[in-house]
Amino acid sequence: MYSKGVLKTSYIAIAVIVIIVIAAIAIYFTTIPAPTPTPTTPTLTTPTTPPKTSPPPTPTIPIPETIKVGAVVCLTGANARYGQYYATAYKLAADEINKEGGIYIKEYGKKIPIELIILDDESDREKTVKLVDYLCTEVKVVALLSGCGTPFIYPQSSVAIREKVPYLTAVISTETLLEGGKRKSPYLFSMLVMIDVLARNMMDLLKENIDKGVLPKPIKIANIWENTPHGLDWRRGIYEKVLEYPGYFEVVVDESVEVGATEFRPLLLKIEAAGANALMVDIRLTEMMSMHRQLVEMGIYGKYPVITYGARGGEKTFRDEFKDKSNYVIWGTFFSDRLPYPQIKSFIEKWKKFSDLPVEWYAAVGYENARIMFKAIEAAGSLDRDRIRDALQNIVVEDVMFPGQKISFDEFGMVHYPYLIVQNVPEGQTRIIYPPELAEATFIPIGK
Amino acid sequence: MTYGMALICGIMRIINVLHAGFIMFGGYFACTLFVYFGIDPLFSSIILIPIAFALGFSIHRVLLARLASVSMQMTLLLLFAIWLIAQNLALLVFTADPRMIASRLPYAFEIYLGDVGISFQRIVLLTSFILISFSTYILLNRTMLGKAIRGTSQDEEAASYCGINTKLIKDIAFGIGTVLASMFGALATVLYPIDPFFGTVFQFKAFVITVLAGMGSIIGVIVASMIIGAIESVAGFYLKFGLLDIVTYTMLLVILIIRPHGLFKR
Repeated sequence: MYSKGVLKTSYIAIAVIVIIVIAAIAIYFTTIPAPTPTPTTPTLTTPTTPPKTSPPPTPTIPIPETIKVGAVVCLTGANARYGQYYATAYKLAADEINKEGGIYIKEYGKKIPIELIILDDESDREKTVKLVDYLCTEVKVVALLSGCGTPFIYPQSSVAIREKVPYLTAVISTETLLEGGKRKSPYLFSMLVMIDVLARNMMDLLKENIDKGVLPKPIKIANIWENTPHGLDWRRGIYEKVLEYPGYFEVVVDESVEVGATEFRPLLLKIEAAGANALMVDIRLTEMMSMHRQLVEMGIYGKYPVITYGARGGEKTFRDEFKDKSNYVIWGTFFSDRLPYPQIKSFIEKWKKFSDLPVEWYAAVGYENARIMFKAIEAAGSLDRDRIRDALQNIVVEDVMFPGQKISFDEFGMVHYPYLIVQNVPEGQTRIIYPPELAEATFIPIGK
Repeated sequence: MTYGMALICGIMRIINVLHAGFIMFGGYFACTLFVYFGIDPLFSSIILIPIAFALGFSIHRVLLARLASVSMQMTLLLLFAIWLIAQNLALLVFTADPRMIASRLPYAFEIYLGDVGISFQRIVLLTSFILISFSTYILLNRTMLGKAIRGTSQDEEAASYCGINTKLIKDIAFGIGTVLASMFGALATVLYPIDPFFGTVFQFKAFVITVLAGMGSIIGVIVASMIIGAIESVAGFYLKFGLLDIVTYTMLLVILIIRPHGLFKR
């Protein structure tokens, strides 16, 4: 038999559990958005007169008061840092259009304001699916803007496919868009270039410098990639170029790294023993910081003329920590305030007025994501999801902030433009070194 | 770090899943002191001792001790819940961005042992860890408190007949375990970037070492750590780097089959 004390404790424990369960159910139902969400941008100004070139047809169906566009992003939790950028950028893009009265919809012959519905998935993948489902089936959004990070976009996209809602994402992993080399759905689009393109661009840069005699031929590559679809894309890009330029590259180490790895010394010893002279790495920021720390600690930074961590390397944390030992590391990006495009200058000014967040590439990507979707809705001239999808498929935008300034989607829903490859230089500065038409400086090997 | 887990496993017979939380706590504590007051993690790990002890002691006294008599599962659930709360608090306060401490200790090669180079930072950290291990050993084997802890770990009922306040001893042991994990967290910031998930990887390693050593065996921890370290280094160099975890956990599986109570169980 249990003593009275144990029984008392058990009763207390049961009571606590019951209270927690009731509270959890209550929180769950209050977290699921209310059935009538309010627009985040209440700038419902009087619609301006539509263009005279197309006389307004007499609508046979009621004109909607707003254009409902949804986005589920991580506003709290582990990915909140990135989610804040996307949410703010989406609001900025919607506000700009709403100040003009909204998007002109030919079918109704008038401008209709955008009702941007942004929901927080709390960096929870299960919740992200429920919220996207809610947006598609209950709110009946006409289009979806992406969340942040492949682990969230991937599950979100499955709902968008099922509900046939045009979904414009910001992913760089082909797995989200393709399955067995075929497009998963005509409703999915990504406005960012895939990571294998970065790997190919990096290899092109190396070849260019091998031809100039700046780098040895063949250059011995240590290819290190995170064991995720992202890393596999990177690896594919590297090998495509190895095959394309025979005699230029020799892969001496080809190893995967698990997410969360902390000790890289055995791997670095292996790379050193293999005599590599280009360290081509695609890993997350946390692992990259550990790896670079151990590289410096082992005294082998400076032995590799080429060090890249893929899209990582320009972060303030990295530059502050490693100072001169972060110089000449090369990395890829979509956006740089060093690009000589007037729209970038204008965007930076608008962003600074709109938000206290510093201008980072997430901001530019979010803004362009929303802007392109709004342009597609206008081009569709309708709030029909299929017509918006068709418009998105055929859209050509020629003033984007990315390299080349032009965006259009191919038959896989992907875009094509080169990555910007940037090199860290002393005093915390950076220089664009690729593509050649946008390069401000030439590549400088580490140790030269 | 593993001492802390071994101590708690040995005395309380529970797997402390909150260990990662204490490692993270130590890491952020050192990081905060460094950013705001410029205090090196070596010193902040000393400042941390009374704070971490008070934290561990309180958690055990207020929460765990009440549930310990009910069931081990409840204790595990509670520890897991506290860990999740701590992790989310860290996300809220410090965000998910990794932070790193630019310790004033030089980290480029300073000392060579033959062909093998060891950074000054690692030498200092190794010395610190040896000192901590030695102090823990002395505390457990040469003091009355240590005797009481060992007595409680061996037979709680008999210890209480000898006049040992086993309830208090358990609070103290949990406090010591917390101190060891937090000190490791603070010192590890010199080598690794810290984020709210910091500690999880180390917790799994600590768990493997504890099982390999035998639950509660302090001497076994030293030997098991060396075995794991050596195997990982060799495997990382000669095998595929991505297979490291497979090697470690396969070894755990084999040990559990051959010697279910570990290599050094008393």
